[in-house]
Amino acid sequence: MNTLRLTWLLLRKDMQVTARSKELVGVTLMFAVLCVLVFSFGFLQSGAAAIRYVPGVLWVTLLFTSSVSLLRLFAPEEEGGTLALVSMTTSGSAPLFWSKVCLQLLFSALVCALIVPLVLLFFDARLSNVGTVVAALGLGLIGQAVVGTLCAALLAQVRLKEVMLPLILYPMLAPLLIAGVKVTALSVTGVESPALSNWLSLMMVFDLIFMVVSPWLYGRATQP
Amino acid sequence: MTQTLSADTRVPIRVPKTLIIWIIISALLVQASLLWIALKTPADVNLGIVQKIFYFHVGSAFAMMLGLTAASVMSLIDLIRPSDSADALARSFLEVGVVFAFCVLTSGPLWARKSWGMYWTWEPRLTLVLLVTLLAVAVLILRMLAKDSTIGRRVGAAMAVMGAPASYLIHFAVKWWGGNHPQVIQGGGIQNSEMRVAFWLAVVAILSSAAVLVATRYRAIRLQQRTQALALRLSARVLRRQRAPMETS
Amino acid sequence: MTSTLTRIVSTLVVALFPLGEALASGAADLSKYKEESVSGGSLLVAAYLVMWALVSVFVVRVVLGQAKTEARLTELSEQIDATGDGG
Repeated sequence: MNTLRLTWLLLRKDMQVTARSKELVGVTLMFAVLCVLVFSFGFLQSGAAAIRYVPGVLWVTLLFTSSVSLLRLFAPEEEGGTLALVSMTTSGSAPLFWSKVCLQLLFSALVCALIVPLVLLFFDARLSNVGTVVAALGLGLIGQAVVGTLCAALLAQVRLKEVMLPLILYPMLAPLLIAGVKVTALSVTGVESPALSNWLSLMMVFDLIFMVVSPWLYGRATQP
Repeated sequence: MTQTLSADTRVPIRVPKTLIIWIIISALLVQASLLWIALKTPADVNLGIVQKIFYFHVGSAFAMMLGLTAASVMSLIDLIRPSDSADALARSFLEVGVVFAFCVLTSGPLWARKSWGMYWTWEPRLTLVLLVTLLAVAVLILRMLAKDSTIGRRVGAAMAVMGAPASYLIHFAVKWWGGNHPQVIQGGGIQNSEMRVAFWLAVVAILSSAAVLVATRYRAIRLQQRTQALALRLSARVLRRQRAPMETS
Repeated sequence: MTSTLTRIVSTLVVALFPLGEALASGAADLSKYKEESVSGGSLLVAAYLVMWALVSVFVVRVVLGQAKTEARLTELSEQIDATGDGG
């Protein structure tokens, strides 16, 4: 069986497990909505300036929500104590790692699909350049999922992991957050800028680097 | 084997002569550079006396960059070919790097207060140093939490390795992010030869002291690792002794 | 005549108003700057003291850690003595 097929099998298993216990998805989505609400209370003073907060609220909500779902990402294996077993039967850690990345990506795509319209609705904003924002969101979520999955996997057995995960993750994801906010801001205000492609390529380079580094580190750090 | 170990423990821990000489040289260098900065360098034309922070501030920044880079490299080596000495070196570099990062972060705002008129501005380099310091402190906490477990050690090393490309990308991100801010005045350049001597003297003094700190911490961690191994072997022997009569009977 | 004069004066006032405002705000800025300026010497001393303190804290921590390890070593060597032959 090749890696791709194993990854798909593991992902399907995880999807079934998640679908069976519906709470996790619901709770995560609700957390995201509450995040948007809290930010609105925190930042919104007058309707006119509201549009300036759209990129920040959107991306910080995605970041916060991702750490909520990341903390539960390896929970089934941890609780069942099957992490080592899965790695052993799939001849290496790559399938497990990539299946978890895909699962996290699905999660954040779901959150994204709910949050983006909601934020645009709440703040009465309009995206002038939908394609670019979708590309930025895609690149941002991929980077978040790859780095986040590695951190979640490695911290699974560390004390205080609930606190340690954001502590490590947020500084590392700072480039994605900055780039994502910039691209979204340019799109919301409708300004055409050559900086746009710079930011998108920064995100792309981020994703490429960590798509190579993370699985390698995961394999290295978890090998018995 | 145990014979030599038990004999070893009764010998007081000796500090090698080279390290002592090195410590003395570093101390002298630091004194010399402080005296030179206090007595020989003129006050800056634009900024006045506060510019004298510059020498140790930049020196600390060098020590921080070198320390954290070395920590990442040693962690990578430890991941590829695990060894206690690579782990000890990675940890000592990380700790010393963090100490000097805090030096940079505290001396910088004090200088900025005078030259830029405010303690903090979101200038790219400041933001970069702040983010990298936060990341390094997080990795340090992780290593402290993990204590001596193998898993914890590997996790700490992996995170330290991750920090290197992350810092590189953060560098670009904050540079472009700060791009549309007004350019801050670059105060505190080197204006004459006294200043140049002071600058390089300070850099050499700080790097030498940082190396002494790394060497000292490294020795301490190695001793700790050996003590741990000794304790493990000892308890294994006690267990064997207890079990031996049962097996023979 | 008076109406022309009034007009000139009022025009001048209106024209000079931004200038006056600018001058006033400039003066305010200057006073703010003076009020905010702090002694460079104390900042310098503070910076060096903080750096010394940070390095000292690190050295003290290393020494304390070393002392702990040495105590543990002594304890272990006593244990070795207690178990007897040492091999």
